[in-house]
Amino acid sequence: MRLTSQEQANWCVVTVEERRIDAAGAIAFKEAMRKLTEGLSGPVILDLGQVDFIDSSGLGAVVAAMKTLGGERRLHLAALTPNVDRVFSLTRMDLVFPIHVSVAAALFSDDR
Amino acid sequence: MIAEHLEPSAIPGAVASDGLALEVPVGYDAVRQALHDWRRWIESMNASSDLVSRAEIVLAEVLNNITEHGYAGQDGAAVPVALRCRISAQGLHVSVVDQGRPAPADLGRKACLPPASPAANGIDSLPEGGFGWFLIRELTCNLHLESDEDGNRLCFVVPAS
Repeated sequence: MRLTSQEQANWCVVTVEERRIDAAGAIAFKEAMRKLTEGLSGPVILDLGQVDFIDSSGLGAVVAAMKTLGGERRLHLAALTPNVDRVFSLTRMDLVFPIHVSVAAALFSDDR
Repeated sequence: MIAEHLEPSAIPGAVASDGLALEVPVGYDAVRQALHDWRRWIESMNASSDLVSRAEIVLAEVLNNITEHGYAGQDGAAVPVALRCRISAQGLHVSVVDQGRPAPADLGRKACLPPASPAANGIDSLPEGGFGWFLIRELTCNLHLESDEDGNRLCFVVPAS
């Protein structure tokens, strides 16, 4: 599971450089998220622009990553592709996460 | 992937003129590979990208559920799951037969969305699972499950639109 991170304007931006977050990769995703975010501060933007498929295990892993960050540090999602957006909408998890059309839109958001 | 009735085709498992039969070994990596093969088949059938997207979610949930629950604790004795698909004007018709533990009779009917009310209960109360059968129910019709000592047979249609 390839994830990269960088600090931008006091945000921690994590980019998923994979096309899938599925049952085969869910544990690796959670572990990579934990390692990348614990070394940086600020709210986290998860850039899902390269992900074209997520299943319920992947969705659960994203929820778990949010819990790991704790209540003080929010997990924002950015650049959802149509099929990923569909899974978040159907399960109503789109009401749980702040969702932005792009990383740039998230960076300029007042909602941190 | 073991194809039945191998046709001289580049697509693993493709049978006859419009159907697909795949033997899917149990395991998450095998499910990912099966979905890859399935996708090549359905894209060759000129299915709409919307149908392909919805159907891939459903197939992933069904096959992962079998891996997670049906074969739990049965390592080494796993019989591949038989996946069959065909397309009609109605949509994608799917049958999935596995030899794992009998599925609970009320499986599927019970499926409902796990509660998610972050503001009220805090993030720790959010569910990390339980979405699978909900997604299957939402995205299919004519869902039918039979279980007996020979295994489980799940049939459904992913509607064309």
